[in-house]
Amino acid sequence: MKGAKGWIIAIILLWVAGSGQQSVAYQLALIGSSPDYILVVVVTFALFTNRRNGAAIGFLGGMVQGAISGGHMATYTVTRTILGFCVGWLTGLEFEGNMAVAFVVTAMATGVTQIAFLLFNPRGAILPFLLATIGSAVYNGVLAMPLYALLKKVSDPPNR
Amino acid sequence: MVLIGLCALGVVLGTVQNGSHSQERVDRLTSTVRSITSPLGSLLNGVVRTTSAFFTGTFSATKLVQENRRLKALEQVYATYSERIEGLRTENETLRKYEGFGQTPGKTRVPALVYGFSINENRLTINVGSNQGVRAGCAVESNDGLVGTVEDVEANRSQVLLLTSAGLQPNAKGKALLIGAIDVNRVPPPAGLLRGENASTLTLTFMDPKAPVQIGDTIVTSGFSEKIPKGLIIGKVIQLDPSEEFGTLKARIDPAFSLGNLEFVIVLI
Repeated sequence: MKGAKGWIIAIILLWVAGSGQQSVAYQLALIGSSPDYILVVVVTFALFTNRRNGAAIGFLGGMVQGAISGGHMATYTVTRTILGFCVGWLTGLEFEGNMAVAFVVTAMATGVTQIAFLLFNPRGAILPFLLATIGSAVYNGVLAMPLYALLKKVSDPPNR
Repeated sequence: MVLIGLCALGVVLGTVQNGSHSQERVDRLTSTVRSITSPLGSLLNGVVRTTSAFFTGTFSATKLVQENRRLKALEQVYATYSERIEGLRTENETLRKYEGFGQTPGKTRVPALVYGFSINENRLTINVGSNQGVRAGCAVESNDGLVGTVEDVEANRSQVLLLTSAGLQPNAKGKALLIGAIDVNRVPPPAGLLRGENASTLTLTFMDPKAPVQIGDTIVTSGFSEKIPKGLIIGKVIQLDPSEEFGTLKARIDPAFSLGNLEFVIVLI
């Protein structure tokens, strides 16, 4: 996805994801696992772009997340920027993207960012955190599938 | 280069955010992003709550009618005592004034709607701020008990750091939420320092390994604070861990408030 159209879509998605993350994500938790809408948008969008734009959408996503959560802005922006960059890089490799790939990449990205978050913010009870992370990874992966399908419909071919 | 540049910019933004917070302010970027996302967030929150209430009402109508009757009866009982309580409060304030203790914190109660929750950061977003007299450090309680303290204050919005937030690490802004607490089931009530352990448990540390605390005891705020009044319910003791070596007694506390039920809270200013 490229050009002004791509960025408009990305910003609208981040706005909706940020609003939902703040207000409804905790109410839609399943078995203690909550979705991370912003991360889903960052990863799914990065699947349609190159590593530079992936890093940029990651940075914007981290900025929104850091602002609404009240946590360390630097932690969120750095982890999301690296994440967007890596997913954008992955898109540059020779593989065919589809909904299953979106599920796997988003689930793995959730795991990696949550573990990075744990390293930045150590806590006492690690096991519940890891279990919640696995749940969130699956939850985010499932959410990424319809979003991927939607973006596929409105996007240009990936910039390889 | 882009990656390094953006990461460096992120670190700069984080530094600006922390700098603003150390002056009890919210930085412009954070405030702008929150202002942009809040209207849609409130709308989505309303839609989810209304949908949930619709289904709850549909499937639990009889139970809700009975509960409504019970609450009306309780309200009548409360009304008979409220005048007496108000009289005692006024008397207490007068005595405090004569003794030079200053005003009791939490005298004014500001109701607020919860419309946001950050899971990783253990923070609530509520719809009252400095325009309603809210200040950083004010206690926030629900019907069940103490929920946390106000951390960030904007004109019409605040973020509340939950009691359960601290864990091993100080919170995101470099401070652990520590609150003085006492066991009201014992005379004299032993006092300790409370902090979050994880999302569902608190730890209360007494500096006496033989403090007369028992499982099931009720823990309330000590009042050893300028902003948190005495007597707010915190929770119940569920486990005791005395340590003669360190000269402490650690009590694990099950917090009284339930996050799932939090829709309205009261800020005590």
